[in-house]
Amino acid sequence: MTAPRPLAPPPGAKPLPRWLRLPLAKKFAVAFVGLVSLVLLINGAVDLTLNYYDAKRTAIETQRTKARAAAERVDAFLSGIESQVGWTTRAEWRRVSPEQQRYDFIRLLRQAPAITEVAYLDPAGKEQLRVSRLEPDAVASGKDFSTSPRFTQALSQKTWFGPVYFRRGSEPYMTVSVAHAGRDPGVTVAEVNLKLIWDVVSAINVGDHGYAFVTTSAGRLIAHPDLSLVLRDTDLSGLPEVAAALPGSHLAGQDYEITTGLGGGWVLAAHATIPRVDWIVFVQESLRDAMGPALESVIQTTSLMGLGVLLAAVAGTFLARRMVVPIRTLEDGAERFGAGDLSERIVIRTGDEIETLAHRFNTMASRVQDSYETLEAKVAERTRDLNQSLDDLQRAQSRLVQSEKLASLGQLTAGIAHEIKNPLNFVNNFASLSHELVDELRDVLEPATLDPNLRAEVEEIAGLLKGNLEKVVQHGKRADSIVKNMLLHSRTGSGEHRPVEVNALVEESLNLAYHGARAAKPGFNVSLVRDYDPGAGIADIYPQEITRVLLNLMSNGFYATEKKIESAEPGYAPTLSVATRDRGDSIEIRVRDNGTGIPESVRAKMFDPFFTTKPAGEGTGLGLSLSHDILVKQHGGTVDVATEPGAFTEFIIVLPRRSATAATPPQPATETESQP
Amino acid sequence: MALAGWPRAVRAQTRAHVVAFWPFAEGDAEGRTLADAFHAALREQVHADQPVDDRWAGADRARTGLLATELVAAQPQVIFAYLSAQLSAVAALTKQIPIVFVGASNPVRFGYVESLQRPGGNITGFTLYEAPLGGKWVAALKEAVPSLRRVTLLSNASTEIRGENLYAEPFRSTAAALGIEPLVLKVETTAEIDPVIADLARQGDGGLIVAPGTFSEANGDRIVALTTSHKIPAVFAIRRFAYRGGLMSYGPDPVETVRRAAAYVGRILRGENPATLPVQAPTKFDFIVNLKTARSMGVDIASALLAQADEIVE
Repeated sequence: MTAPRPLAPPPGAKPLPRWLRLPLAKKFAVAFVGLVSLVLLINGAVDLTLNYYDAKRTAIETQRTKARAAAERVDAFLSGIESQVGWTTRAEWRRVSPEQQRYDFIRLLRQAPAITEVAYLDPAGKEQLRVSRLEPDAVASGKDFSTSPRFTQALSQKTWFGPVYFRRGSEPYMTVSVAHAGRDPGVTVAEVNLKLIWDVVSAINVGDHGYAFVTTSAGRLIAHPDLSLVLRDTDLSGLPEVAAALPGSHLAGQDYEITTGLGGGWVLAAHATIPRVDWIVFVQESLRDAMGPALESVIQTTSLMGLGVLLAAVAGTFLARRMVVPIRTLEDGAERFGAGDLSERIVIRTGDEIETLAHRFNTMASRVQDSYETLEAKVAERTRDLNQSLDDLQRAQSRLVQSEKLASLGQLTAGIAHEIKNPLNFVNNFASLSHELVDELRDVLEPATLDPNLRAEVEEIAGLLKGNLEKVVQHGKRADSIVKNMLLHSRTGSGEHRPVEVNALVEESLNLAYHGARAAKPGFNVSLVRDYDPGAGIADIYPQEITRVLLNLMSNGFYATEKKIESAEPGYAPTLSVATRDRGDSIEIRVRDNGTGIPESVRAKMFDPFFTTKPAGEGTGLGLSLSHDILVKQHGGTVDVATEPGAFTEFIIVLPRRSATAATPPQPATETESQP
Repeated sequence: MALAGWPRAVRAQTRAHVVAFWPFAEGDAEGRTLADAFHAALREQVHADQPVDDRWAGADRARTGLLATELVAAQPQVIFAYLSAQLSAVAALTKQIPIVFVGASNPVRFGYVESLQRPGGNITGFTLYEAPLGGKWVAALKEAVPSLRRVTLLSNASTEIRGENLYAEPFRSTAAALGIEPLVLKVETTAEIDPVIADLARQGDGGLIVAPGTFSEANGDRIVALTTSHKIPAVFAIRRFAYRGGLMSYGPDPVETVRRAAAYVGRILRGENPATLPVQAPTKFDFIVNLKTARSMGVDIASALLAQADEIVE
């Protein structure tokens, strides 16, 4: 189980951009607010556009109406001049007295303040009378205007409005000439000071701060509420709204313009032309005033939108929080599970998918907990098994080591024995021969007559010699048997393996051992206990070898009981138990005595060659070593010993039923046995 | 910053006043009327408690120069100068303080402004009279008194440019056309008026034209008295003298012009540049006939002339 690392990204993964790393609550809030805002914005934008265009259309229409009205008023000013001049254009006016004509002109000047000078041109185009505000009246000056447009144009058009001109570069003037009625008419020419349109223009109200102004068709300012602009000889053809209205402009068809106005700032300007003088009357109002209703609607829509977005933000935040709290709980629970704490359960009561998810988590946690516990039990079991196997292995290994040790020792021993055997034969044979020679010597001396004392002495020496030789023979034989046993180590493969009735073999061996023991020591007594398993059956073994092993073990047992008798309390009943057991593929044979037992110090070395606890001359130290070889190496079985010092010793032999064939008999140097 | 700026702000505030420079003596009725009109119009333009200092110099040249020095030294925000003498006195002293004038005839020729539409300096304003009126006055006098044979134009320093009277040329040509002997006389002091009128009376069939200007404003009443006593028909440029006993007057209404000048002062106070405010000319001239004086002089005013009169004093 690894520790949970929720924040560690998988190696090699590209880190997410920062904005994607927002907490869920913020993402949700952003998404929610964004969506609502988008809807509101679209709605607002559509609303705004419609309202704006509606209001704009209304404003433009209003402005257009105002422009027409203003144009009409300026036109009315001109019409006023025309009609006042018309006073003097009656058909019969030509025939009134010059005094009366002058009087009429003076009256005209008084009634029309804009007219600064008025003149009468007779039908020939000669000036007959001129009355001016500034200059002395001129009567019959006779100045010829017959080719001047003020005369010719008036005759052809009845009324002629001349071009605007500026007196002394400053004050705008215009010549108005009106042809008289009747045949062969004269013309009344008035010089009109256009400064006085100021009264008209400044009386035109255009909204709260808007105003009207008039330009010529070339863009030159004629009338403006600020008279100083007019007098300053202002050319407005560069002003966008004027430029757009001038003839030849690409926008000529349009009679309104939203642009920057005279004083800077955005204005809504509309214009109307006065065709007969080619003047353009503009009304302009600051866009803010003109579009007041539109602006209000914009503000209204915007504030509604803002309110909506605010509400969306509040609602989004609230919902996000509500959603995120259970998710946090879930996250905490998952982290707990991840850390291995499976005892607690996640409690979420939202009744939605998150609750379901929490249930799933809980179920998962339970499962994990269950499998965790099972797993622990299994691990414990396996560990136990493994320990068992390890123990077995270690035992097998130590046995193997022992076996190898014993094998090498055995080979060494066999080699030594082989070398010793020939000289020992010489010793033994020559000792026997010498024993016989002593008898022959006696026989030879028998007939001879000798001093009795000498004879006695010779007899005594011969006897001693004979005794010595007997001892040499006896010990030589013993040495011979040792050497033979040593050789057996390397010769256990002798004999044939065959199926043998195990119980019979054991019984035979027991009888042999018992009688052998009684033969060696007449007072020997021991009670034998037999416990044969009828199912022990047959095993494929080397019977001679196994018999030797059994005899060895049994005689060891007898020896142990004997030893115990020497030190035991009365009532001690020496017993040797022999048992067989069927172990399926193998057979178990137990040989148990209630003798002295084996001390702990001995047990480790008891299978070593030449190790013996018996007094010198009684054991060769090869019995158990040999038995181990036979059982383990030759038959692939095992031999174990269970003992308690002073109580009992039990050898437990396990023989596989078919192991003998598989087992390779050790390869002793049998061919060398026959060597001298 | 605030501490450093404070005294300057105070100074600017105390400076933010207007000085009106009048050619009348203090307490003069005409001066009072014009000053009241000016104040009222300025209050409409700016605000009710706009401070205006009226300076009354009279016709005295030395006093005019002294007062001009004084008021320019006071560094007002705008100077309003009525008539040429006042304008020339202050215009010589400052090129910075905006000056709005009323009554300086032909300011371009006098060099006060570059052009009428764009004055280009610190001076702008309203003219009252124009040169052709010299002819108009003669014609009016001739029409009233057809027997007229000689006319004297009473000129003074304030209407002259380099020794030449502004109205002299149209005056002479019109007089010649009407068969009248013209005479332009420049008078400098009150005492010089008497011999002029005495001469006219002695020669007979004479008339007098009183040109506008500071001198005429100051001595108009005396001229009226002299012409009445000598039965000399006189035309005044200044309208009020027709009401004071002069036979006729032909000229603009100065009250209206002063009001319009106040509007200019207001615009300058609001930050406009006098260099861009065009000089404006009058559009209307009133012809006033005093029938009472006519009767007392034994002058029979023709009905045609009466018909021309805008106002008749009875």
